[in-house]
Amino acid sequence: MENAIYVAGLYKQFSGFALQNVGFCVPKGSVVGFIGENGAGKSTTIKSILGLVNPDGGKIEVFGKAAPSLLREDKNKIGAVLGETCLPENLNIKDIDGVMRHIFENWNSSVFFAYADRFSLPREKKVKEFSRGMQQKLSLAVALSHGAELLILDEPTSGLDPVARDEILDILYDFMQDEEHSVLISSHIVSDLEKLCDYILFIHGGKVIFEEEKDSLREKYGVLKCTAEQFAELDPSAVVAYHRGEFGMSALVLREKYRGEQALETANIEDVMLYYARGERV
Amino acid sequence: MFGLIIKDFKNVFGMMIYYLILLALFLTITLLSDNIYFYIGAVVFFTISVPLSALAYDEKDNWDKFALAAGVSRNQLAVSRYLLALAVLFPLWLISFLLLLAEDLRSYENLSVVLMYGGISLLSTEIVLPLVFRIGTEKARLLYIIVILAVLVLGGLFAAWVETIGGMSVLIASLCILAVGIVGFFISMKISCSIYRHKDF
Repeated sequence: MENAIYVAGLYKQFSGFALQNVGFCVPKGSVVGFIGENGAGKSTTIKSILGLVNPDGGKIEVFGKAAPSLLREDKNKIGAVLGETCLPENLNIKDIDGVMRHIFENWNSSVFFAYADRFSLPREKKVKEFSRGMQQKLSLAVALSHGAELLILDEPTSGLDPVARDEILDILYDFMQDEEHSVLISSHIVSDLEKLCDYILFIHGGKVIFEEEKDSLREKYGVLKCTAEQFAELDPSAVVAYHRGEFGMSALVLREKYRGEQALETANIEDVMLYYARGERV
Repeated sequence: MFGLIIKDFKNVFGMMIYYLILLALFLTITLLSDNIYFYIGAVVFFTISVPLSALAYDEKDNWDKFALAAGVSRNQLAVSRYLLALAVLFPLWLISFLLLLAEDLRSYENLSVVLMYGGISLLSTEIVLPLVFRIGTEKARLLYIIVILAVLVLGGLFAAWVETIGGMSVLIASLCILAVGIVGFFISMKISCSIYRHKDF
């Protein structure tokens, strides 16, 4: 399968934090949801892919080319939303169109203004007068207006109300109608990712814990609610992590290895993330 | 690159009125007092302060992150700030040559001053920009003030020297300073590109 993004052995050291041997891929035509708590390394990984951070080691390929050797026309095929707005706040929508025409080779003003209208972004107002949600929508409008084949989105729905988030998810669905298009999206709002993604990539403490097909997560993991005695009888290799509560125990277990009698609850992405990040290990 | 310069001008557009009023003020004082130093000193100030204002906005907006992600190279980002300085310097410097057409300002000494301050504008820019790239606009503010003060002191000393000596030797010295400014501009750009290459955003 052809990859839009391929990362292997990515290493980046900061004081007090390091990305360690990060590896994953974003297959062409798929949506990969990137999850992990704050400071887990999502943004650093995304910045490394986009060339904003100089990695200390590892290999990053985008569209089959080594990331450092990407030309302007290759980068122009990537639409990025970087958490913060990152657009000149003194400018209005018309000014931004005027600037982007010279930044992106395939900039399409009519597409941009169509998105601006769809998002109800006022044309005369300066970006700094926009609400946080409007700024996020503007960033997305820019990312979608230069013929991008790959979207790299760092928290694109943060700070948005559920209606606006749904609107953005709809636009991403539309974007994915083209089989050549791919998306890497990080978000804390796991319910958004459940709706949109084909794969889930989970990073914790600078290390990739897993990259799995979203649907296989449900098949692979289950949540067991039980007493301490029942927990003690479990095969330790079936338990990924557990929480000890006031009234009993709960554990994320591997369905394949679980042989107990209690029924397992469905583990959603958030459960899996929380057990891996905060659960105790056997 | 053109997009970056356009963005800078649009970004500082709000400050243009302030800059134009100041410029008109210094121009008027120069014409009324027949003293070229007022205007040419302002040229140095604008050559540094316009790119610094644009950089401060970029820093606040995280523009560099966006530009790099959009395919603008690190070298282009660094060089664009120098081009912005030149885009400010050239028209203002051209006006100072036009001022020399006025009868009361027409002299070898004033030509020397204009040439020398062209060099000083370049030198100031090439000292300040790499440091701003290295430590950020906020921390570099003090340095910027020191450079402006140094230019004022040097300007005063130079004025005294011109008064005392005058003639061709001053003109040659001015050309030398201009030449140093031009050569230093390329060296400074190279240093800034290297700073940008190793920077994490």
